Amino acid sequence: MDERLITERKQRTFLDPQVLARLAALPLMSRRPMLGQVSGRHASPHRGASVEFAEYRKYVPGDDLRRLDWRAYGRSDRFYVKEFEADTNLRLCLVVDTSGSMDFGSVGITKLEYARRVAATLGYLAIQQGDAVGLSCVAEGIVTSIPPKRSPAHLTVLFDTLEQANPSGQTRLDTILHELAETIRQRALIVILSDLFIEPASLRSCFEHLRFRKHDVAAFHLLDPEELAFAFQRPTRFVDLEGGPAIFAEPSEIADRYHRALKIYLDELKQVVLETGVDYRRVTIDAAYDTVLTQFLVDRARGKGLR
Amino acid sequence: MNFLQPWLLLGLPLLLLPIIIHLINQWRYQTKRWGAMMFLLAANRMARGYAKIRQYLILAMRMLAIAGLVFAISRPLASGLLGFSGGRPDTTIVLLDRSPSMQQRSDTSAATKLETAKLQLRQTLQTLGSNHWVLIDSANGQPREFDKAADLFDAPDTQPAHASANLPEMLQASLEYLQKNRPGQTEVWICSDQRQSDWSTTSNQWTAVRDAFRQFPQSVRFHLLSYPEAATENIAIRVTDVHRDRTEGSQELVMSLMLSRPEGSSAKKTIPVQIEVNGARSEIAAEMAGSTLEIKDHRVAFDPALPKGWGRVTIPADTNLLDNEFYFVFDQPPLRRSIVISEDPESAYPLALAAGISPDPQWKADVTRGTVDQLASMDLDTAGLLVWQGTLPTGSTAQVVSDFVRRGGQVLFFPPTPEGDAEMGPGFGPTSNEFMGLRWSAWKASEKAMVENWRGDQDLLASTRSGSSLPVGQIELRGHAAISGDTSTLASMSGGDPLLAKATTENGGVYFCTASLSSKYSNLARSGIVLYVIIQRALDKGLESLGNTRDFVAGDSQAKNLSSAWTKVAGSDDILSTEFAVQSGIYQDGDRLFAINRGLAEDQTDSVQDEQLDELFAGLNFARVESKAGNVASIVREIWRLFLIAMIAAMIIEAAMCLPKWVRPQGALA
Repeated sequence: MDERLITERKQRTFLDPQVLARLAALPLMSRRPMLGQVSGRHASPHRGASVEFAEYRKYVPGDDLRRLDWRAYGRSDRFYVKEFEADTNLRLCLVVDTSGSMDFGSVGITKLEYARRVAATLGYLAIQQGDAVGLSCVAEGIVTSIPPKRSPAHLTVLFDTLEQANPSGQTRLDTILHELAETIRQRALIVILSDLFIEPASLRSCFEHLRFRKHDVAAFHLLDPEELAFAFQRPTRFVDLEGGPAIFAEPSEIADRYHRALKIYLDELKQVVLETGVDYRRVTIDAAYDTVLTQFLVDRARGKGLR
Repeated sequence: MNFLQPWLLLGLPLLLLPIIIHLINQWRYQTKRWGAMMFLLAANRMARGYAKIRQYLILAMRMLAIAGLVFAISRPLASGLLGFSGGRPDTTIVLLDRSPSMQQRSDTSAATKLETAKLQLRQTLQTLGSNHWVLIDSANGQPREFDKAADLFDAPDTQPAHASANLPEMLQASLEYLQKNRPGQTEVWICSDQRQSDWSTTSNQWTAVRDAFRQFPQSVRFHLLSYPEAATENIAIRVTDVHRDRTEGSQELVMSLMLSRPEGSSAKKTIPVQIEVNGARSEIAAEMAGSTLEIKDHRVAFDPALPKGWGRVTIPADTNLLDNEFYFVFDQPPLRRSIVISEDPESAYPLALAAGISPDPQWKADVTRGTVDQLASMDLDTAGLLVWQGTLPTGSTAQVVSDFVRRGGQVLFFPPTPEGDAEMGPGFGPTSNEFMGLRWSAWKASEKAMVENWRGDQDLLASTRSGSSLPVGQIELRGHAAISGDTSTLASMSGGDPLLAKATTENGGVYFCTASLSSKYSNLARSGIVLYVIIQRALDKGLESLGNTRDFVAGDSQAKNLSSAWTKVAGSDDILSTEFAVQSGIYQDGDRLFAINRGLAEDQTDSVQDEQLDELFAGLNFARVESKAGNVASIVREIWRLFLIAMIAAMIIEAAMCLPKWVRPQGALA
């Protein structure tokens, strides 16, 4: 496996071995119980055979006699069954926005490239800890969809798909998230990597739908510093990367209103993610992605943001 | 709005400069592939309100700044008087009304209308500028050229005068000046108080002058600087009659005075009237209750040893100083001598009768009758009137009559006796004798013709002093003569043919009466009143040239001819010798005394209405601005400073609107 990874490192520009090595020590934890098919390091809603005690329960006919706690019987003269937490694996579903707007980047890297790095690193970490990883590249629809698998060989498919993803088309993330909420049958950690240029109201229903399906949702909101600053001087013709009509504007005149619109959007979005329990991370793509991921993993390991 | 440099308005297309720069700036745009279009769209939606208006306002401010600059350097004028000005005129003609009514002061200022007009016009013309300056004043009526505007109003020709203005004549003089000199763009400035007497709105001359100006090829603009404010507390005095008491041994003058003030003044007022006769002064108190007060036959004692003399009446100073004084002269009346030349004894009799009956029994009258052949032996030098019935004089006879007229005598012509109803009898027709360019062209027989129009305001057919009209309308004609030549009609019949016409002469008077004195053709002799009045009035006028004293209305053409030999006896100290004929006073030429006074019309306050003005200047480029005495504000004012301030204000507003708004630090968003 290590040799294969070395080969991957040579080929994939979005994988940094040093980053992978640093982050390997940090577990990718789910904030909600997962329903896995195999044993793992994530909590399950069911009782299982882990070493972690869960509770005592009265014996009922049909229970496995091997699980009777004889010491408790000796103390109380009653039959109790000793139950332990079940550990299961995690289904990590990476949703990467490949719409045209993700092709923008003013700091030497596009938002899509940034999303690739984050997605690839998370995928690698998940496979490493025995979790299943799936990938959906979405734009106007689901461009590519790879179901979650635990196999290390699955990484190659994942990376290939990421590498081949081309930014084009409009963002229909809201529609697609509804679709994914219905199609991902078991509980999963859904990590969305997108610029989220959608009305927050639309996203609210998406996030609520995913939450209803017991999914753990994390969103990396990727923004370019130039999109935040909007510091142009000359009259500019803005060509829509998603194929919409171009807009001519005098930046000095429109900047104020642009910032106002951006602030309103961000405030509304913040309210949405707070209310829907999404693990929201606003990321400017000039920030080092390993730092962003480290913070993400550490926060999750500490259970921050769990609702 | 008017501009002193209107051609600089050609720079107004520069207003488009901000728009062009804006468009050029837009053409230099950069293209940016952009993802966050939703915020741009949202920003654009927000820009539909104030932000869009702000953009337009900034553009408008930039255009306003340029407009302000262009207008400022075009030197705009604040006045609606000028109409659209084509810039500096080539010639500026000032028609200045110096008549006594222009000496009216307002109740609140010591400046007269004339002084105010000169001040305002000086400021205006110095602002506007011109290549040539011409002054036509109401007293002299002749154009005078000046080098600069300031000289125009320092000239003695602009000082107050007692002569009335004649605006049609002044316009005629300006027209003749323009026709002679053919200048370019011309401005004619008229300063007047719009008195009806000065404007003579009914004069036929207006039509001729207006038509001539309309056809004038050069651009001529008329500006009336008007001071129509009526006097409220002004009283004028004049002597309506003065003569020596003709009773045996009397040592008194009999005077009639008239005091007048504007209509509507009814407050009782006692006015001390000072009367000075040959240096002796006396005073009477006149109680005035209405608008006029006539003092009839006031007797003043004087030294009977003096055969003639002069005097004046004065009242205290009021708002117009020029009508507070009136001069008069008196003398023994000359013998009322007339000469009647007639070829028809039937006609000669009523003529001699009308000339021989003196209107005052104490005045002696003498009539000499004769034929054309006897004229050479008659003494015309002592006669005031020559009545001529028959073929017009010719040759040496005509020369004698012309000399008589030139001396100041009056001639009244009646047509030759017609031969039945024949149009061309002896003395009629194109080959008949001609006198001063006039001839009897034909005899027109008619059934019954009546006189329809006559001049009741002046000359021989004027109404009586009491205001009653002469019974001219009762004259019936069954034939009349036609006149060919240039005359002014004093009375006309149905159909327009004249009954009484006056020839144009410098001195004296030449009248043509077209009615025959024969009872077969008219009742002129039989009714007698009109004939008597015509003859007596003509005789009175003729006698004026014979006496040792004479009254003239200021500005009278005959007085102007005589005034070169005059010396001043009484009057204002400031009067120039060239202005004797137009300034009130007593003047002397040898043994003869002359009194000059303002005309009767100057005491009348009727004004020309705006509608009449519009009619008078119909079809001409005419503008009127109203001012009042004591108004020191210039009628035109350069207001480029206002535009400069507007430009600066526009630039400041534009700069303020262009200031970038405070932008929230980027960190707050990230």
